[in-house]
Amino acid sequence: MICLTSTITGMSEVHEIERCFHDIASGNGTPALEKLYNCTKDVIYGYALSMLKNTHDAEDVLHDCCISIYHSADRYTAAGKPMAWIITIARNLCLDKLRARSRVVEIPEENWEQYLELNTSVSVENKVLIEKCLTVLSDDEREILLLHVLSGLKHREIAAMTDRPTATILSKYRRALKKLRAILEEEDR
Amino acid sequence: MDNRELENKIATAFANIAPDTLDSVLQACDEQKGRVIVMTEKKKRTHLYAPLPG
Repeated sequence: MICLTSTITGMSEVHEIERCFHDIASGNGTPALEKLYNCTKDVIYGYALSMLKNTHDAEDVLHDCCISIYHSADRYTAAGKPMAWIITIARNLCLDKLRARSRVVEIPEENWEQYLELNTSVSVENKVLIEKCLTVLSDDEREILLLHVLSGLKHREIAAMTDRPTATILSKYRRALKKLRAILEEEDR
Repeated sequence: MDNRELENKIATAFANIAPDTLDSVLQACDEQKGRVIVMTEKKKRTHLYAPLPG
């Protein structure tokens, strides 16, 4: 299966994901779910981690999102936007988590720093970049940047998903890139 | 560094970040698939009153 682990933008990936939905819906669930999981886990997890800043919650979202896809794959209407559909599910799960956090007094600690430190599959350079994304950018900037970069959604699709004007999305996106570039260039000096 | 380069860097950084939880996902899906609710035959209501003599 041709599939980028980080971005899903090509038509072949889109067709593969849609085929997985079709296979799951027609009862050939397990192998198709496995393919889908391997293809989308980094996007879903990366997005959830950026929203929640907690690895346990991000893992929960990844888990629940896959189960949700498994049970509702038959309701996906092929429109060439399977990642938008998946990310909408993940986003709703993240928002549920954030709402649940606001209802309890004890707010879970952000634990992503420790997780990154222990994760040997991520290089030091990439750890720095993830850290900057999670600390330097505002919540809005981070969400918009990662929705575009990781899941390949267009700015107008992000605008529709987050119920904001496309111009706002574009300006926040550019600001996020500018902030990150400035910090990375400063560190390189 | 132009925008495209930076975007690629970010995408690469987030690749391989997710833990492998495939087994627990597959297990959860199998468990839910195997959960069957047995539907018993609905009892027919019996008439409480005898029909009026014609």
